[in-house]
Amino acid sequence: MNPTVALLLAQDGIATGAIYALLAMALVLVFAVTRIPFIPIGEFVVYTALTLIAIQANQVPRTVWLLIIVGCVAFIADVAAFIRERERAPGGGTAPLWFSAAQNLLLPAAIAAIAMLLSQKPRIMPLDMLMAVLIVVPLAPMIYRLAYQPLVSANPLVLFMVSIAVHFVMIGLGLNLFGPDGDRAEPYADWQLELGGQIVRGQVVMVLAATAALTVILYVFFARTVPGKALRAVAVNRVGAQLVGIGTAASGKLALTLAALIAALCGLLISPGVTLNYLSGELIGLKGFVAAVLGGFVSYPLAVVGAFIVSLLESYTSFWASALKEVIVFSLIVPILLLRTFLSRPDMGEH
Amino acid sequence: MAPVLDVKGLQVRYGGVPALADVDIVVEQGAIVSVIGPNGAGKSTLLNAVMGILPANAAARGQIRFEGVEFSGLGVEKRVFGGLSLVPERRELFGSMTVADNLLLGAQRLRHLGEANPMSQIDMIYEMFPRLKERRAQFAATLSGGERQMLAIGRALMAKPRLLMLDEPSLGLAPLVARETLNLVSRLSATTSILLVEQNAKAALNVSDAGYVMEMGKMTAHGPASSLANDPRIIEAYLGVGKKKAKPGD
Repeated sequence: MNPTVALLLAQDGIATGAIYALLAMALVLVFAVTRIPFIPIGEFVVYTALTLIAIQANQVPRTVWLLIIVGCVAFIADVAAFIRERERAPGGGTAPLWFSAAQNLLLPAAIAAIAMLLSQKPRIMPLDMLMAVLIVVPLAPMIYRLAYQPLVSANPLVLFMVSIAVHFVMIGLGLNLFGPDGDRAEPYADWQLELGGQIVRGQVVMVLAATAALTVILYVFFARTVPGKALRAVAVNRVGAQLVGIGTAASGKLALTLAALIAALCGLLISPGVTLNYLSGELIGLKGFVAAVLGGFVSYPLAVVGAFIVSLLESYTSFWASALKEVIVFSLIVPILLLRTFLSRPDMGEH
Repeated sequence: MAPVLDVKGLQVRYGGVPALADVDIVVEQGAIVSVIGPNGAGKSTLLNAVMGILPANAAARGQIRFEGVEFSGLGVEKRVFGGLSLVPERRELFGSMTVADNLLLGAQRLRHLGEANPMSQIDMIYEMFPRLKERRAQFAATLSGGERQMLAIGRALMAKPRLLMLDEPSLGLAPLVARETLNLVSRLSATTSILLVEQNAKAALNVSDAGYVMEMGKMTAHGPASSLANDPRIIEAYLGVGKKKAKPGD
């Protein structure tokens, strides 16, 4: 390997690492707030990318219909819960029902109408990207409502099993919605920079810039805003958060929505560079998962470090032993977990 | 006027094991009511059941009326928005967040109710606990035991509760700080009704209007605090000034 190849591989590794870092941060966020290991995060990446590709092909993406159907089911679940609660404790207004109707019926309908309207207009790249995000992200609170909210006090093992179920349901639906073939979106940064004799692709610059911007936005959200602090409070002390009136369901929905938003942005960022199909989310999500495992699912900085370790390892092994790329990356989990176990329980050997 | 809290026939079982059996308790508007009793009597379970934070393996039955509205079956969030606040025995602060942020989040109820200035209580809290003002930028986990108790009470008061429930507020505090805390309780009754669970029965009855005695998950006595404080059985069992054993040579 000569230095030019090494630098090219490093460039690739860093760009992919930024994506894994975002996904790992989203996974840590969801786990800290809800105790859910959010395995289906990769599906949100792929759904957004494939939705964007459909929009760019002047189609009404089929994810729109999924959004409407899941919204209707979530609304029915809310109505049933409302009736049950009313029987137990009569009185109180109907505001929760109206809110649910707006979120689960009205919003999907409005998004569908805009998607149909836009499919007949000339393509504008930023608008198409925004549309893809608008179609996919609202699925997250609906999925939380249907799959996780009824199990709000369950232990992480149960939530892990539910996550696996959601993951496979989304893969199956993905095949139905997008078909088996892979595709790429149109490039959004068709330019390159020369930096110290090294060519840096525009897409790499955009990925890094977007990651930096999103990290700053997330920092401001968590450090400066009341909803951000409320989410942190749930992660720090769940009972304490309940005692001040921070709703478990509301914070769970918000955490999943944020994670889906981060995943959707990752989907947009990688969509021109990689051929994606309905199955691609599994590997992408799991690599974010490995990075989050390195941070013990609690540390954001360690998760980011983990993400870059995973991506650089992946980049260089693809050069030396491409057939073993995934084997090496996923084998990382074993020594990481062993190391973490020994570091967190130093007195284990004395018993 | 309806009592602020009216609990009737409250039963709690932990995985089949009874913890509370047919408990009745009433807190009148503006009153301080204390519940005294030995360890394991079910005092904390009573407060947790009223607040709706029993563990997943617990089952509760019975009536919990708060200002005339049935609260049993409602989630914790709705009880908080209704005007209930609990300062639990373990304080449950947000340790890795600052004192100011802990207080900020205490005002979630007022934000939910759409109050124009949800932080209206903050000056009153800082006036009541000047130490918290000094340490407002410090993480809650770095505070001393007494300061944590101040913060837990301050955070609960940020919601302008209609009923403040305090679980063992003097537990683990130095005697002087414990006395100050209970003095504070009597001052707080000007703004809210209070339900107090306290091991230090004498101090609790001193600041209360009414008292309940709880033993083995049942209420065994209740009445005005002054009569309980003078009841010989209660004096002997809880106030630590009962009949002394005759020493040889007496």
